[in-house]
Amino acid sequence: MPERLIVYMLVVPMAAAIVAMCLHGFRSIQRPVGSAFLVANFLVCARFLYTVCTATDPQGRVLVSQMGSWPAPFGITIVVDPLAALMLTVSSLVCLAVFVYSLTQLDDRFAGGFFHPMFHLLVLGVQWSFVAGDLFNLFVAFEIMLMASYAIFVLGTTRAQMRQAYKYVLLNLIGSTLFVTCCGLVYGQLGTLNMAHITQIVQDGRLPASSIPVITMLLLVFGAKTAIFPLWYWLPDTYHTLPAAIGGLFAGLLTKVGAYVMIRVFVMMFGGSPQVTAVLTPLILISAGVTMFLGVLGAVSMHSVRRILSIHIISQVGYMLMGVGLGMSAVSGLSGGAALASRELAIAGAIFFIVHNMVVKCCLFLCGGLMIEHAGSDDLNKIGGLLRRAPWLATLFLIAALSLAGLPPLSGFFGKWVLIREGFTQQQYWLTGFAIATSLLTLLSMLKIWSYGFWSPPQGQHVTRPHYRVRTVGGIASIALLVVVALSMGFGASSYMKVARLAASTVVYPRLYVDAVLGKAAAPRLAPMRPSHASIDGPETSGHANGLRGETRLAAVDSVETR
Amino acid sequence: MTLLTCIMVGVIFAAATYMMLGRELKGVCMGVFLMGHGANLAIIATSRSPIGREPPVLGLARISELADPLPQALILTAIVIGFAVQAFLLTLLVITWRRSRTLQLAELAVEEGA
Amino acid sequence: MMSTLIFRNAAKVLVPLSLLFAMFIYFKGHQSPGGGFVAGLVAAVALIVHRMSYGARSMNRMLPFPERSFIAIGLFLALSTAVVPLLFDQPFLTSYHGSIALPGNNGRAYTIEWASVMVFDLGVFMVVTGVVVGMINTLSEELEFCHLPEQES
Repeated sequence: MPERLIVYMLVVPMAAAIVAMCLHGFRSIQRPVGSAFLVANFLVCARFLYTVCTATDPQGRVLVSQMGSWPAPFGITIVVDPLAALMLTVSSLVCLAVFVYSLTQLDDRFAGGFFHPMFHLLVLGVQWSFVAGDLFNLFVAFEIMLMASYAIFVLGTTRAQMRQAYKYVLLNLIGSTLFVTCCGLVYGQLGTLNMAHITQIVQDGRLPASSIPVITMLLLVFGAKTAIFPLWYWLPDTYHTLPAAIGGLFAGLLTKVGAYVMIRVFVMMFGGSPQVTAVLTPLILISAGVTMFLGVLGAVSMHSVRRILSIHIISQVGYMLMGVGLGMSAVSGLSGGAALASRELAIAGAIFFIVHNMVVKCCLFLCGGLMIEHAGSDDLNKIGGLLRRAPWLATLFLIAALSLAGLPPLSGFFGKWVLIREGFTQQQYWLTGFAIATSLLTLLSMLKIWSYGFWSPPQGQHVTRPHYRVRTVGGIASIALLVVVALSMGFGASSYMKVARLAASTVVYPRLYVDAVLGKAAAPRLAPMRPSHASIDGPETSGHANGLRGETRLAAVDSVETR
Repeated sequence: MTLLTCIMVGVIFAAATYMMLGRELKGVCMGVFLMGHGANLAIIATSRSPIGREPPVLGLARISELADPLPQALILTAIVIGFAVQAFLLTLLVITWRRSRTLQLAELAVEEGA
Repeated sequence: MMSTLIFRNAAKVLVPLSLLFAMFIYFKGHQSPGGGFVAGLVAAVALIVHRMSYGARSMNRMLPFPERSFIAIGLFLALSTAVVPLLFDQPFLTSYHGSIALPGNNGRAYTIEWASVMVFDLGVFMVVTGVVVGMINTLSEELEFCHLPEQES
């Protein structure tokens, strides 16, 4: 398919949202139409993943479309590289599964109203943040995603949930405000917001030292979205109040978008600057260790299925963060080619882990929803005997839970294995030790759900709801879809890892990305300075890095004139 | 002028933080709105001052006399997004008020416990 | 609802004028500051002034369709304009423009410039109008509901 069609990844969900809005009130039509759009969305994403991964020409691995034909650093660019394509494909699959699940499992209280348009808008926001080519578009995409998530969050909330809703909304809003401030500061210092252009500047060693605080501020912003160590406080209280379908969607996508952005920004854009990595890598690695270990301790201490799973999100984020930290710079003991190779492998491990976690985490949340459906509660003290009552659910849950814990033939193992191995290679023994301990505790907390919920003798009354069997079939089908994907990641790990390594290589060696976006011929930043330059910028320029801004602006106006 | 804008940004952020630390939801939400405006002002402060320059429309003036259009585009977008967010939060406040007849965070917590 | 005599009579003049001004801004936005967004805001303000003086029901009668449809139609217009260039081998959102010569009086031809972005802007106009009117509608319904007993007494 031609390169310009990558924009379908935004057009399809947006069209779906508009159609769903027009069909408001006709739920019997909304449902099949929505499913059709999501299937189409998945097919588009998978098609581009195939294009990107099988391109024989290395230039073909990064697909670029310039919105409105405006040239790269000045207009809006949409970029699909192997990393984005992989994320898009898996996230669209997760969305499809959650949607199918919500058709039968979501209460009318939630599924009525504007759930359908908001769902598609959320998909739009998530996919846009994967393909955004500049920081400001990333901000806009985040906002669309978050606005949709706020709206879904407060659908049918009870009074008790209102307070949690405020916590979620207000803390995310503060994060967004900081993000937009960061965008302004980055533009003020570098004169550009285009990711490829910033990467270029960093690689050329033209990053002013004064921008390091701004980049650290970006770490705060993305850290709050991803729920890393000091900034995770909003997550455990909020996710477990949500119905399973919505919780699964949020758990599968939102924090992972944050992790993806961290890879994109800190590894690809700023990974080439030794000053930045010197400041950020220790922060990220320490935060990773604390995040994963405290998260899993929280999970072990909890006694309700949804709470355990919510806090587990945090612990899993720690592994992703570990990959980002190891990928930013090989801290010690390595140099040159070995360091680069180690960084690339660590990033590949993180990418594999994110993809695995999207699928498995979402799957476990959906399982938790069905457990409540079967037993009427998710308090582990009140339920039991689900193994006999719902053998299919038990089987699927066990596979997903063991994948999450990372037992060898299953998908969680490979991501963790690569991360831990690179941890040893880079001599981060403490962090790696924590990673291994966390893994064991994860297994413990998963077995806790298994033994209390499924294995133990039945507790209390068996609640049977009307249309019980019909209602669970849809749920089981979508969980089965996710489990099959998770299994394929385990047994076909080598091919998934190949894609992950391809994705990692475009991030660690960003030359391909930069060339594809900026274009080799165009590269307006290389144009010699105009003689009029001095007169334009005058004495004011002195405050700005390298006088880049004036140059950029001139070239922008040039390109407008030539059109 | 840039210095004045910077000081203003600081004042606005401080005021917004103070409001957000309050115990009443209305004040907290107003603090968030105010912080959004502070962020917009911060974008102006970091971009070059547009004072004494022409609007960035081609043909109105020489290119060298035009203001930098990008910060203005950023701010416009941020304002629109802030607009949506404010509408959402106000609606949420109205719903909360309708349901529990209180906007005090502490009282909401009491109800949750009850 | 502010139903004082002065406000009602002022609204009679203000509303059509502001709607006209909104159209002016919309067309002006083609070449100079202005455009669909601002025009949408002005139009929404006009509608709200009407709502304040004559009540919600009267305003809803003025709209050809409910404000929610404004948003849907506007988004659809914007999206479809943005997609069209994909058919002609151009990136998403590419704008086309040109001019039409109209036969004028005394042999002097008028030329009218057109741009495909006008349709996109119309979409923006409709979305903004719909969103603002819908927002005010939702929020003020609540207020009117709350203050109803006080007004009666």
